[in-house]
Amino acid sequence: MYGQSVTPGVYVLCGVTSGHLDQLRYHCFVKLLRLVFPLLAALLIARILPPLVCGRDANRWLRGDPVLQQSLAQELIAFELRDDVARNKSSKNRFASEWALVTHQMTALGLAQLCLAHPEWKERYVPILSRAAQKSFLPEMRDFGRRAWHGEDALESLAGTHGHAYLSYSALAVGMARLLDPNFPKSIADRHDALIAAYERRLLASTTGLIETYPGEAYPTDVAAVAAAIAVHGRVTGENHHRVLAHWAEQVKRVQIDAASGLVIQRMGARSGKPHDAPRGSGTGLAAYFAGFADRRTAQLLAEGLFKHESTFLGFGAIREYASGHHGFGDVDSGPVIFGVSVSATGFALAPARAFGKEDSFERIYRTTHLFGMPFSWAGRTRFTSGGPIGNALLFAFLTSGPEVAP
Amino acid sequence: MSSMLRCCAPLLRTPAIVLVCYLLLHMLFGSLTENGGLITPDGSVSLGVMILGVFLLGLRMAVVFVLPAHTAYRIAKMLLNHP
Repeated sequence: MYGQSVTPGVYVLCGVTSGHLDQLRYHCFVKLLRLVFPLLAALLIARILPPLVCGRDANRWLRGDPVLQQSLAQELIAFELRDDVARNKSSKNRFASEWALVTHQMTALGLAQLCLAHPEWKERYVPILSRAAQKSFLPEMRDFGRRAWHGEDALESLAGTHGHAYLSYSALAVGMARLLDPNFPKSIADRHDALIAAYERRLLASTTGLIETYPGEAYPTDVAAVAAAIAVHGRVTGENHHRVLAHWAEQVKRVQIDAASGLVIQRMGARSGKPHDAPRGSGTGLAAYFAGFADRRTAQLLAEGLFKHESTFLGFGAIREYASGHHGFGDVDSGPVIFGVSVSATGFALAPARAFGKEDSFERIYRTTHLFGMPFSWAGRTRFTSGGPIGNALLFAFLTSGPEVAP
Repeated sequence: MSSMLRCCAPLLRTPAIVLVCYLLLHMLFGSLTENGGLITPDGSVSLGVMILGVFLLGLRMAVVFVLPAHTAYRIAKMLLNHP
């Protein structure tokens, strides 16, 4: 039937026999095969090999492989020890400011999470995490905040109404250190108690559940860190912070989450609750991690919103920075935004993906992290070479997230 | 079989050279980034490390995506043309 339909009478008239046509068909088939088969092989390899190579450690991170966890921990411990030496040597060129604060904070949180998951490691890690948390609380770490508030120091103005929410990052690290370190210095613990009391009072007084980070500007992510610091303080001291945490969780749902996208608005007016920026992935990812310390359901809600914005390609996953209808370039919060996805949102998403068992998303996102993070292992230490100490500290906290989440 | 392997060997030479170069550069970059990555801890940019890092990232993309696919393409083509 097929042969008849493709054998026009003109071939017969030209003396072309069916044998010739079969030969022609065979040659065409071989030619097509020679063209298509190599292309198919190339496409197959491109689809299978890169996800396999970049995702080979994903499952080990997900299951909490002690070798992997300790190799990244060792890298950050080495960094902290070098930082201690530099700090003792010279008063100049100290590692300070916002980036340093976050590096020490995330190192402390990551080590604390390891100690919660493996209590037998406490002896080794608690002194280091406690020291890192204390460094994040040093006055020079909050110089950027003092400058933004025109010279007003967060710890010298506890009776005031200004939010100073940025210091909650240190407060959270100090809280985790107090939870695990029985020898935590009392003088710092007293200042921590006073800061938490101020945050609690300010948050309860806010009808939007927001307090300022900088004058006139509130970041829901920073306020999630405030809630986390308050919640961990409750675990340490036994104080009941239920009322303020319930108020915060209620306002996150009512004011801070964009209903259409499920993402939190990146920047808002603290008093008015008016958006000053778009709903964004980077803020939501970090807020989901911090919210986990304070309220599991709020963290899960934020994670649901975040993973709705996952883009996938060839088995790699990344989080889109902006909700639909919003556009923008990268900034200090998101890092570069490439094809709509951001470096920060993608990295931050590892924490809720691991903590809430979103295994497929974790694996896809880890592949992307591995591809761009360029991990390098040497002498029992692993570092993500492209991110530097801050990138390592952030990934350490996110890749070990889970044990810190409130029940 | 051995003749087929002999035919494949030249096809694998270039990818192997690129792979070895990549691994050496990765080791170099790894040793240079003990105190900072593409951006240093204080947030400033170290130009030399940045250039090496961006070059390495490009090479990594090639090694992970392009090189295996291109090698598979050439081997499949060679196998089909093999007498």
